[in-house]
Amino acid sequence: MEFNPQVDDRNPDPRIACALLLDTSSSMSGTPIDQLNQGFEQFCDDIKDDELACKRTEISVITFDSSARVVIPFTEGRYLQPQRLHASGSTAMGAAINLALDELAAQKQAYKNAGLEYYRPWLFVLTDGGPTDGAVFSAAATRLKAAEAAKGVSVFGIGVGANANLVKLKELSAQRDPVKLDGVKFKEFFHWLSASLSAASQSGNHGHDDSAIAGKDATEQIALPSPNGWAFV
Amino acid sequence: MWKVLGASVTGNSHVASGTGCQDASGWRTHAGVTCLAVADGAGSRPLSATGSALAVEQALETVARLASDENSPGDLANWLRTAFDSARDRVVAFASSTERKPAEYASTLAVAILTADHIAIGQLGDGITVVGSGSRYVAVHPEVKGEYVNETFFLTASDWYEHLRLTVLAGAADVVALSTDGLRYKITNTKTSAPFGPFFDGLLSYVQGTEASSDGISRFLAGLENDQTGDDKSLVAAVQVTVEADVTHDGGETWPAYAVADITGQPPALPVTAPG
Repeated sequence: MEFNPQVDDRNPDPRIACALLLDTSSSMSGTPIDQLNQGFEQFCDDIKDDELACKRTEISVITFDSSARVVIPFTEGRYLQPQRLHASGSTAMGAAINLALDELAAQKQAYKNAGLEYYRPWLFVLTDGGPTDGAVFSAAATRLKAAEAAKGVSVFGIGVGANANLVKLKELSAQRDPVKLDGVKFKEFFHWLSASLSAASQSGNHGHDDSAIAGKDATEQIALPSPNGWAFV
Repeated sequence: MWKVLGASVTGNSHVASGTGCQDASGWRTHAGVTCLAVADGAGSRPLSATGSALAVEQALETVARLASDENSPGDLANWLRTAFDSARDRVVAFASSTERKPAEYASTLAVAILTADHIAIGQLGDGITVVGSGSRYVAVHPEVKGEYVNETFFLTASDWYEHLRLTVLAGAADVVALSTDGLRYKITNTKTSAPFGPFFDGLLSYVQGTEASSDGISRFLAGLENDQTGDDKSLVAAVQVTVEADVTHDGGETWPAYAVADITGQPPALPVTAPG
């Protein structure tokens, strides 16, 4: 006689919201956008290999070219599906940052409403150029740095190719300098991201609000893998 | 009378890392007293599987000795203190004999003593203990988690007795179940520790059935996908049955041959805390 009781299948795990802001301007055409697509597709598989990370990680993809849009709303890693991105237009990076901050605030509120604990969210900006929405960008960068200073988000700037404006990326964070992607090693980057989310998923740095998480930093730092495989540091 | 089934299985993450099963579980009925025990060896300590097995074995042995001794005090809270103290002594002595630190054998321990009219539960660490009656299930004195979900208290800690939680319940119950934290997402609310009722309904009716087996429990534990922990899992359940035929009295995969005569532990003089 088999024992097949009903078990609780809801996902009460604490969540790491991870917003990926991806530059899909026309300069990304060809090899860069192809490699980006392949890297993200592989990431969607990788994240499902880690039992903990696939339930704790929620990924959102926001693309920016002449405008910014949510291509993938926050989705648990176990349900994440790749979406093919195309390159065209200019680089509305400021609009993307504003959109991401709005989405992150809404996501944190959703966690609170559901009684879920969360980790400090991660926000990645990948660009091969610089913002073309200057005034919007300046205000968005100020807003992002304020969110970072309030320990509401961790910011990672990544420049792609020779024309990436690292000076502008540096304006996005007072705590972490941007890094340059080595060539078009998007696959290596996404592999690192998956490993980093796995490492973070195993840490206890989560709480019911930002201040609860901020208090934990001093006692438990998440050790992320080295980005040596894909970045010039 | 109580009918008991149970099993411990290796978690997926322990299979992947080659760690093996660090959980241990067992039970024994002796002189009218049924005792259940589960222990969860600390994941970060390579020798903790031995620690959890020794702790379970010694706790069961100690309760069996107390049950068979007419001069044992009637106070079940003291039985539990004695069982934990004896289990700890056994682990510490084993560590000493191998010239290692006791902490390398760190494990949690939960023990339930079931008599005709009382249920006594002792806990150190983050085990799950559930008592049910009439389809109402209660998690008995769950551990209040500190800042970090992955921290708990171990039998080998020097201040272990300060964290020992004792509960003595008078009266009858339909089911008493012990588990380890590898099942916490599937059978409890991880925020409130409240038992997930449908699971315990299913457990009660399964174990009461005449075809039920510990192998069936083991298959269920091993077959759980997406348990969200990857951790080892144990489940030992005692249910009230009226028919005495075909009832297993001893069990548990970590239950080796033993000699009661070896036991020399005396009831410890510990700070008395009110059970409950």
